[in-house]
Amino acid sequence: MYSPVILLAEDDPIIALDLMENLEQFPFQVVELDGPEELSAANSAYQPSLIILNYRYSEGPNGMELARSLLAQSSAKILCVTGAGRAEVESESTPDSRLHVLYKPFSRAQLQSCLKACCNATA
Amino acid sequence: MKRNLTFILLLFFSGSLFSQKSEADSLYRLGYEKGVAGDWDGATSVLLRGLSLAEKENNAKLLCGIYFQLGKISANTNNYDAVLQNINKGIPQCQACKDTSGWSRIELLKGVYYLKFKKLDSALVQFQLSQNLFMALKDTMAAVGVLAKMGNAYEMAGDYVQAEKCYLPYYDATLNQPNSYAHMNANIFLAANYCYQEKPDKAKFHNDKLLQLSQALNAKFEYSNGLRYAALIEYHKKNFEAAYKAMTRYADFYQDSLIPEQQIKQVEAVKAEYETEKKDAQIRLQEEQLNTERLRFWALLGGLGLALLAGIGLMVLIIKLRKRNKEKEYLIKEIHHRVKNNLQILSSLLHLQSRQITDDTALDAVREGQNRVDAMGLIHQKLYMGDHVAKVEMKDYLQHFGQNMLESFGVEEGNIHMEYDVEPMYLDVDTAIPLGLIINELVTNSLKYAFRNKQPADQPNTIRIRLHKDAKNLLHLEVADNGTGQSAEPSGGTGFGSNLIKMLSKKLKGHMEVQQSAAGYATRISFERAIVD
Repeated sequence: MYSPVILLAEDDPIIALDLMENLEQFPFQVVELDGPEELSAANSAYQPSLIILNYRYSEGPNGMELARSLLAQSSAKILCVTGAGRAEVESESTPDSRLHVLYKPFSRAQLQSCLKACCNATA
Repeated sequence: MKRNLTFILLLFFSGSLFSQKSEADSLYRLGYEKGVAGDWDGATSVLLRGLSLAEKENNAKLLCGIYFQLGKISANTNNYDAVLQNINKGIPQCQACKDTSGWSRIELLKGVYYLKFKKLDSALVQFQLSQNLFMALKDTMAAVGVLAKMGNAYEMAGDYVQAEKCYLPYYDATLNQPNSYAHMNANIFLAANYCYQEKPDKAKFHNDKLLQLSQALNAKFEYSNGLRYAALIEYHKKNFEAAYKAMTRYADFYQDSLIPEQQIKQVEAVKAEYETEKKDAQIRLQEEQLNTERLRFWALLGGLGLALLAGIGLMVLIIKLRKRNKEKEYLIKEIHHRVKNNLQILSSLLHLQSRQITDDTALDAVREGQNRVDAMGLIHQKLYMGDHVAKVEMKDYLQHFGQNMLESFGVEEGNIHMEYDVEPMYLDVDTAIPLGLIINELVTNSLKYAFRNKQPADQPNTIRIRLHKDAKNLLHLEVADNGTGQSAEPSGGTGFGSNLIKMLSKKLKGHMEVQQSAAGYATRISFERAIVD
């Protein structure tokens, strides 16, 4: 049975694990990537419904630039998980209804709320 | 016949000789006369022609005389270089022909030369030498005449007493020529000398004679000097009115009289000198002004340059400071970022661990821990998001916190309401975090125990959070529920939460009151620590 795909490119393994466990409640296939550099290829390959990435990676590309690029390439939603401040993120982001931001440290409630908003609509 | 021829020949040659001798001598005499008449140029021309003839004749006596006359003319025309030249050429000629008279005159002229240039000691030496020569010639009059020059030298040196000693013999010697220029000059010398010595009576005696003689001899220059001395004499006598009148007569005479050409020339020379000096002074002043302006210009330029440099320096400093501030801001952002990241990792760890725990007590403990981390995490989330980087807006924070708590405890919608009575206020991190943890513990207690076993009632289950500050900026917190008044497990529980509340309250210098009843449980804490907004 075909399941919609969620690509996960969170560079912190603990947070990535936490996110994956929270995503289990949703009827999605979660594909965890090794790094943001795989996103473009994975996006082409999987045609995901949701892409979860970081606003800033310790190495590699700028997350927001990646997000803009992916928004242009596909119809997937983007969830940007970040420890940066709202002002900083909003100054760099492009207004797009498909772009969601989850600010760390998020509570269970905030995470659930955000995932529901991204996945339910997607589903 | 032979005698007649001899006589004729003698007459011829003697006549020719006489005529040759007479020509040089005639020229000398003519030059002398022209000099006396004041025709200096004519005199000089004639004398120079006579000089060439006298040189051919090797006539030392005539040469001595001609050089003396030329020297006198040079002195009268103020050509003192020529004076010295003529003197130095004349003296050897006089010595050669043993013309003591000419020699004495030339030495006298040399003294006059030194007097002109105020070489008074040299002048006196020359005058003494000249006087000795005149005395040797037994020319008493000439010797006494030298005394007048010596008197002039002493007067120039300011030794009026010694000058008087020189003038008096000269005066006495001229008494036998009472109407002569010499006697008039003697009176001039003494009138002036006694004026300098402030002996008005003696000065008047000689000045009256001066005025009389100068009028008789039509010597206007000497007469005008007499008028001037008359004014001085009255002044020394302290007859100031008479002195003024005398000076007025002098000024009128000076203006109205025919001033000798020499005086006119002197006046014009002085005037020219004055005008030149005035122009030079103007030029100097203009140059000074120009220099001052230049200095001002360069000072202004320098000042502007310094100001520009200072401005540039200030700009560079401002840019550096701004850059430093930006770097600091960036660092602070980075620190916040990492803190929030770490808090997220902590929260995620606790959540992940809680999924492995089956024991309810342990699970509760982990979840409570997770809630505490979430409470702190929310502070940091709100901390960075606000305009005030280091402060948290409590009303917004508590509303989000309350929602999170309800969802964390899985409270169904509508089962428990959160009410907020929070005054808008900003709290710094050091206050917000312990306060947030206190509120977390109190709300946790209410969520866990307040509504357990509560009978359904008309009033919905409510947890109210109140946060206000008073006039002294002291903070007042109240967390109250309308539950059963239970705040903990009947068995007492670990009490960790209560201890935490007490410790954190103590940190904030808070005083706690508890109101517990069947209508609910309320905790009120008043913090003495002033809130900085």
